[in-house]
Amino acid sequence: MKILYYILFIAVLTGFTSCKKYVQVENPKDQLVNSSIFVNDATATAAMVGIYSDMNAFNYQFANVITTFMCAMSADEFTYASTLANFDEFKNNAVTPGNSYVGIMWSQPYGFIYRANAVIQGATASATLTPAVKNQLIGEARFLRAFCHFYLVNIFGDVPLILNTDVLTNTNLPRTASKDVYGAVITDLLEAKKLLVAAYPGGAERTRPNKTAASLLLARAYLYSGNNVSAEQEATEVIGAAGYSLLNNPDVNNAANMTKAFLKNSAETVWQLQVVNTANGRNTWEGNTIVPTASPFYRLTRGTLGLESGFEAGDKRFTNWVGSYTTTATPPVTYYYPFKYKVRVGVAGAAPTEYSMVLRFAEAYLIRAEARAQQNNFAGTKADLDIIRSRAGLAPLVIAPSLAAAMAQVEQERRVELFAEWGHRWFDLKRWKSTSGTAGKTRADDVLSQSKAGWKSTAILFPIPSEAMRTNPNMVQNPGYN
Amino acid sequence: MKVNAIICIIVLFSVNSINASTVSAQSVNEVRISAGFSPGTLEQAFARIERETEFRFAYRKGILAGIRSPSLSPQTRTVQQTLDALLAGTDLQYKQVDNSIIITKNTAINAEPVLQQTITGTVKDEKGIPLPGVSVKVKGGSVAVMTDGTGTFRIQASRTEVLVFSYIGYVSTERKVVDAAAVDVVLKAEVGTLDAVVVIGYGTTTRRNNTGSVTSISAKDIANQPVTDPLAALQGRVAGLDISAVTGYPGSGYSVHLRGQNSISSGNDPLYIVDGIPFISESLSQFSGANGSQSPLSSLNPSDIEQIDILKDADATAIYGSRGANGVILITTKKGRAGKPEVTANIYRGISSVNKKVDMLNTSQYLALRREAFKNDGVIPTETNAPDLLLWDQNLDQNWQEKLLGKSAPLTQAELSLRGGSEQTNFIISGTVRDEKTVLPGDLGYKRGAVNFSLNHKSLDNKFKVTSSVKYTADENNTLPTDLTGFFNLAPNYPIYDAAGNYYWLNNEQNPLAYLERTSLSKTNNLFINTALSYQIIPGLNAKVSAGINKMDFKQTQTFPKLSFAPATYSGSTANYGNNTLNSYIVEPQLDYTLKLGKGNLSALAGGTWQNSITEGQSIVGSGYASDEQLQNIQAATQITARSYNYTKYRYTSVFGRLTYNWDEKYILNGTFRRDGSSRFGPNKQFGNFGAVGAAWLFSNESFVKDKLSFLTFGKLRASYGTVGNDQIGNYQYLDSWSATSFPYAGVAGLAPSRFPNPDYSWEVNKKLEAGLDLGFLGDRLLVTANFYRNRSGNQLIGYTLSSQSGFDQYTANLPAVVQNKGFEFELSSVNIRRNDFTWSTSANLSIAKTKLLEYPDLENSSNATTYVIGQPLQIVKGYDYLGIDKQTGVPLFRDINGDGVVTDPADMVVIGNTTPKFYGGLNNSLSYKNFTLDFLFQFVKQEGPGLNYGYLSYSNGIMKNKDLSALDRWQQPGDEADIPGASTTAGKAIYNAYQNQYRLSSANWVDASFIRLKNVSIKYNFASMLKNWKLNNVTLYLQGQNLLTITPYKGFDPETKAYALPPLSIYTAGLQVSF
Repeated sequence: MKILYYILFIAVLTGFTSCKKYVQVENPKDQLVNSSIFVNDATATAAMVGIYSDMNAFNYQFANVITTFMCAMSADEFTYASTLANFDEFKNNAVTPGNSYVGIMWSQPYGFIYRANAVIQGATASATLTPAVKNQLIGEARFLRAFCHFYLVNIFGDVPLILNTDVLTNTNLPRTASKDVYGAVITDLLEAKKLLVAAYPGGAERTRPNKTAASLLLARAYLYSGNNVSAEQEATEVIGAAGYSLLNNPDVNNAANMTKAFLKNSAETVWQLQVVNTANGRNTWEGNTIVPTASPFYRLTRGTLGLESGFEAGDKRFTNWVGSYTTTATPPVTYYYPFKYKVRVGVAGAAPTEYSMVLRFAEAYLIRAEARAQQNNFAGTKADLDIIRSRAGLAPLVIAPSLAAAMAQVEQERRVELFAEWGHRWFDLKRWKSTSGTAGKTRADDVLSQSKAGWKSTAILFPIPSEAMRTNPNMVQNPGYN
Repeated sequence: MKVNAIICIIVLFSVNSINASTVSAQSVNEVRISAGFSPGTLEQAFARIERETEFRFAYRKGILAGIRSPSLSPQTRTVQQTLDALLAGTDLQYKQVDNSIIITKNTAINAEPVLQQTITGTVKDEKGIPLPGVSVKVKGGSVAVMTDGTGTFRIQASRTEVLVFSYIGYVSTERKVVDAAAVDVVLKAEVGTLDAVVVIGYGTTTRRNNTGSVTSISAKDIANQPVTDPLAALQGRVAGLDISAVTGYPGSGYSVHLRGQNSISSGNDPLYIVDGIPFISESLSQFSGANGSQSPLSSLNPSDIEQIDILKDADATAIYGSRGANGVILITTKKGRAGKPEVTANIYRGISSVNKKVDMLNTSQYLALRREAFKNDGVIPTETNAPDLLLWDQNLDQNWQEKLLGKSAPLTQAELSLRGGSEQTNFIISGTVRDEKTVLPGDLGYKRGAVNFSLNHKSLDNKFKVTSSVKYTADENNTLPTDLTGFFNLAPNYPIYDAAGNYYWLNNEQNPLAYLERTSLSKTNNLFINTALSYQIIPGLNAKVSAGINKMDFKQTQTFPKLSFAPATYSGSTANYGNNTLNSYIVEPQLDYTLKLGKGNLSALAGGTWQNSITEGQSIVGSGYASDEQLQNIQAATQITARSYNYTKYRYTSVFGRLTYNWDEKYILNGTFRRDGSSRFGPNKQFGNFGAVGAAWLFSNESFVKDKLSFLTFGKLRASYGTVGNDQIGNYQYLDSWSATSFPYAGVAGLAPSRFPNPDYSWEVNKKLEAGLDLGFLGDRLLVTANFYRNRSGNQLIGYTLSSQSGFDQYTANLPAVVQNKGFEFELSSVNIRRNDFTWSTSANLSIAKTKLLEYPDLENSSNATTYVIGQPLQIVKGYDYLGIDKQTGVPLFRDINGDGVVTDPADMVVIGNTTPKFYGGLNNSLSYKNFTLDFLFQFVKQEGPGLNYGYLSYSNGIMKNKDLSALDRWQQPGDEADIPGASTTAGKAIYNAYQNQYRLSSANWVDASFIRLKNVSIKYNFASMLKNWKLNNVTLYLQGQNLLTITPYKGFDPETKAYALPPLSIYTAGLQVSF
C-alpha cells in the first residue's frame, strides 16, 4: 500500500512545483509563431509566396476561373451551355448579393490584401532581412495589394481601402471613393516599381512579379483613371523592357508560334501564377475547366453580335486561340470556345507546361494605343495596333483621324486580343463612355442592351455580397440591387 | 498561489496519514507495556496505557461508571494481556480498530458460548420465484455467500448474529438467526428510486440526499433500445436534455443541448465522463461523409453501460469547473458483481428503414410545371435548357426516394458476457458485435465490435479497493462521401443510364447512382483503460487515485473513381486518405473524509487533476492511379499531395474540493470549489475559479410533516447557485501564428496567417441558479420533481464575426454579452398498479425552456447586428415577411420594412422564428403481467423549423428539379388566389428572382416542426419459470422497435433532422436473451 502513497506524494509534489508550467504547452507543430516569420529571408519569403500559392490552389477562386469567367459571361465573351443558377445570374446580368461567386470575388482579394499588409509591416520592421530580399518582398507586397484593390474597384466600384493590418478598424471601414482607391493603387505601384528589379526573383520562372509587372499594371491603372500621358509613358517603358516580345518571331508569317503564348514563362509573360495543384497532371484551372472533352460548355457568344463573329477574316487569333466543335446533329452546329490554354489534363506526374497568365506583354501595346488615341495621336494608335494586328496576320489599319474612329479600333483589338483573360472586356465596357453621348451611360449600355434581354445600366457593378452587407454596418449596397 | 496552498494541505494531510497508518499496523497483542497498576478507576488505567502507547480508547460515556480496576503488579505485558486482566470480571469487552481501542458492553455475557452453525434457507421474490445470486452476509463479519440457481444458500453463523440479504433492484433485508431452522426470505423489489445510487462528480449520493439536479437512466432503459449510439438512448427520457440526430446514417452525430444553448459561438456540448475519465466529443473525421462527421460517442457500446447520470445545475456541475457549463453526462459502465458466475447471451436481429417520405410531383405534373415555367418566362425550351422536356422519356416516372433510400436495412447485434466472483474479487467480461446495413443501394453499413473487461478487488479488511477496466471498441463505417438524400428532387424522368447502358450525364451535373461508385470507409479503434485505487487510511478517511488512458485511432479512405464523374468534369481519379489519433491521459488523486459532527454527518473531498491530450492527424490526396481498382492503395498513386496536418496539445490541471454537511437527515448543505488551469487560454488568463453552494431541506423528516401529512412520504426543497465555465473553444486560439499553405510555390513552402490573434481572452462563465422540489407520495409510489433554473452565461467567447474586408471572417474575443437560459422541468414516476402478477408504472418528463440574449454591448454596431436581437433567443432565424402572391403576376410579395420600395437583405429582414424547442419531453409506460413485460416511450417536441422549401437548396418552381406536392397549389394565371409562387425557370425573371432572393428565405417556408413520436416499444416474455428444470435464470424473448410512429404537421422529411438529411430510421428487432 505504501507504493500508492508514494505515487500520490510524488504526483502532488510534481504538481506543487509545476502547476503553472503544466498548462503552458509548447507551440503547435503545425504552426509558426508570428515573431519568427520576418526574422530570416526564407520564412519571410514563404509569407509572401504563400499568397500566390493560395491564389491558385483550388478552382473557382478569385485569381483563376471566377474573375475571368464571371466577367466574361457578364460581358459578351462567352456563356455556359446549361442552366446553373449561380452562373445564370452572371449570364443574365441579374447577379444577386447572395451569389457565392460574388462573395469570393470580394472576400478573397481582401484576404490577400491583409497578408500583403502583414508582409509590408513585418518586412519593414525587420532588421535582420537581407536588404535585397527586404526590398523585393515589400515591392511584391505593394504590387499585390495594388493588384487586389484594382480588381475590387473595377468589379464593385467604391470599395474599402485597406492599407494596414488593423483588423478591428478595417472590419467596419466604409467604401472609399474609386478615385482614391486608384490613387492608392498608383502609389503602391510606383513604390513597387522602385523596389522591384528587372530580374524575376528566384531565376527563370516568371511567377513572382518584377519591375515590369509593376510597370504594366501601373500603365493600366493610369489608363483606367484617365491619366493618358503617364499611361503612355509606362506602357512605353514596358515595351522597351528586355526579355519580352510578341510570339511571332522570327517569321511574321509563322503565326502558329502564338499558340505558345500561354506556355509557362513564354516571352509574352509579364506575370503568371504558377500552377500548384497539379494532381493527375492538371495544368491551369482555366484550361482544366474550359477545354472540352467533346461538346464545349463554355461557348463564345453566338450570332452576329457574338464574339464568334467578332474576328476579322483571317485573324490568326481565331485559328489559334479559339477552338471549335461541330455536332453530329442534322444540320450540324459548330460551337466555338476559348482555346488560349490548350491543356485540359496533362501527363500525371510530369511538370506542367502551362501557367495561369495574369499580365501579358501584348496589353502594353493596347494601353499605349488607347492612351495615344485619347491624346489625339491617332498615328501612334495605328502604329501600336498594327503591331498587334500583324502578329495576328492582319493588314495594317486605315484609321480616320477622329477619337471615335480610333477608339472603335482600340475596342475591336482589345476585344479579340484579350478575350477570356481577367475580365478585360467587362471592365472596358464599364469604363468607356457611351458612344451615343448620353450622360451617365456607358459603352456597356450601348453593347449589352442589344445582346442581352433585360439589360440594366446598374448591372455594370456587381452587388456588394450579402455577407459584407451583414458584417459591416457601414457598408452601402450598389445601386440597382435589392 | 492558492492552488499551491491547497496542494500543500493535501500533501501534509497525506504525509500525516502515512505515519498514522504505519503505527496502526501494530496490534494489541504486539505492543508491550511495562507498568504496574494500582487499584482505581478504569479511566485512570486507560489513561496510563494511552501515555505508554499509541493506542487511544473510545467508549460511551457512563459505561465505565462504578467499575473499579484491579491492581496489577509491575511487569511487561502485551496490551492485550493488560486489558484482559483489567476487564476480567466486568461486562465490558474491547475491540481494536486501527490504533483505537473501543470499549463496549458485552451484551452476550453470561450467554452460552458462541456456537457456529450452518444456517440454510432460500430467497425468493414476491412472486415466489427463487432468486439466484443474492448476496447473503453475516452483518459485521466477513463471511458471505451467494444463493444458487434455486435460491438456496448455506452459511456459517452463530445465533444472535444477523444475516443481510442484498440483491440489485431489491430492498436489502436483514434477518436475525434465531435457531437452526431454515431462514426463508422474501425480497421486495425496490419501488421508489429515492435510495438508488446517483453518480455525481467524484462521488455518489442518493436521490434522497442529493442537493443538486441530476437525472439517472439505468441500463434497463438503454437495453430496451436497439440503437448504435448511447446518446440515442437518452432521447425523450431526461428533462432538460434536448438531443436530435443530425442524420439517420449510423455513426452520425447528435446535436446535444442540456438546458439550452449557453454559448453564442463556442461549443455547447456537455462534458462526457466515462468511468471518471473525460471522453472527447469532437469528431476526429478528416473528410466528411454521407453521415457528416463520425460521432466519437458511437465508439462507446451502449450494451456496456450500467447507468447514465445527467448533471445539470451548479451544485452538480461546479466540481467540473471550466468544463461543466453545458452540463455533465456521467456514463458508468458495467462492473463485476459478486455471485455465482453468470453467463448472459443476448442476440437480436431486425431491420431499419425510412418510414417518412416526401410526396413529389409525378412526371406529368412535373413536366407541366416545367412547360408552364418556360411559358411564363417567355423562353422557348431548347435541348440545352430543357433536356427533360425535349430529350428524356416523357413517361418515365421514378421515385428517387424509393430508389436511393428505399431499402430495408438488416441489423444484427450479439452480446455475450460472463459476470461473477467473490465479494473480494469479481469481474465482468463481455463482448458485443453489431452489424447494420444502410438504406442506400449497395452493400454499405456499419460494424462494431466491443470488449469490456472489468475487475474489482478489495482486501479482506475492506480497506484497499481497486477497480480496473479495459474497454476496446473497433468500428468500421462503410458509407458514401455524399448523402444521397439531397437527390430526392431530381427530375422524375432523369435517365440513370444512356442507351449504351452507361451512366447518363447531363453536362457536369451529378448522376446520383454514379455516386455509389465512390466509397468512404472510416475505422475507429478506441482503447479506454481506467483504474481507481482507494485505501482507507483511518475509518472515514479514504485516499484514492483514479487514472485513465484513452487512445483513439481514426482512419479514413475515400475513393473517387472515373465512373463516378461526369466525363466533362473528370480530370483523373483521386482518393483521400486521412488519419487522426487522440492520446489522452488523466490522473486524479483524491482524499475524502467523513465525520460525525453533532447530529450530522460532515463529508469532505479534496483532489487534483492532471490531464494531457494530444490530437495529431493528417490528410492526403492521391492521384494518378494506373487503375481505379487501386484507389484504396496509397502506394499506387503517382502523385501524393498533403492536404492537411493537424496537431493540438491540450493540458489541463486543477484542484477541487467539496464539503457536505447533512444535519439529522433534515438539512443538507453542500459546497464545491474548483480552480482550473487550461492551455486553451492566453498565457495571462490561464487560471479560473469556479464554485457552487447547494442546500436541501428534507421537510418530510420534520415531525410536523410526519405527524400531520402522512400521505407525503418524502419532501425535499433544494436550491443551488454557482459559477461554471466553458472551455470548448479549440486550442491555440490566442496564438499569433502562421501555418503552411496547401501547396509550395516557386520552390518555397508558403505560409499563411492562422488567425487574427487575441491573447487576452479568458473563461466563458455560466452562473447557474436552481430551485427544486422533490415530493414522494403514498410510500414513494409517486415521485415528483420540479425544477426551476436560470443560467446566465457571460463573458462570451465569441468567434467575433469580422467583415471579410479586414482579411478574416472572425476572431475569438470575450464580450460581456449575456445569454440566459431559463426553464421549468418536471419529472414524475409512479407505480400506478402493483399487484402480485400485474404492475404498471409510468414515468414522464417535461421541459419548458427559453433562451434569451440579455446583453450584447453595442450590438447594433457590431458585425452580429443582423444575426442577433436583444431579448430574443440566440437561435432566431431572420427572413422576409411573406405577404402572399401577387394575383396578377404570380410573384411572391414581402413586407418592405424600411419602405424604400425594394426588399433587401438585411434591411427588410425580420425574425421569422427560432429553432429552439418551446417544450419537450417524454412519457414512458412499463407494464408487466406475469412473465410478460411491455415498455413504450413517447417523445414529444413543440418547435418550429425550416420547411422543405426553406433555404438555399430550394429552387424556383419550374427549375429542372422536382417539387413536392405543394407546387400543385401554385399561381397559374392572373386572378389566381394562390399561396405558392408561379412557375419560372429563368434567372432575372420577376418570379424567379423573388423566389431565389426572398421566398425561400421567408416566413412562407418557416413551419411548425412539432412532433409526437412513438420512440421506443419493447415487448418481452420471460420463459424462466416454465423452464425451471433447465437451470436457466432467464430466458427472454423480445421484440423492440425504435422511431415507430411520428405524428407531425411537418411536411418535409423529418421534423427532428429537418432539411434534406436522411431521417432517423425506424428500427424493428426481435431478440433472445439467455442467462445461466
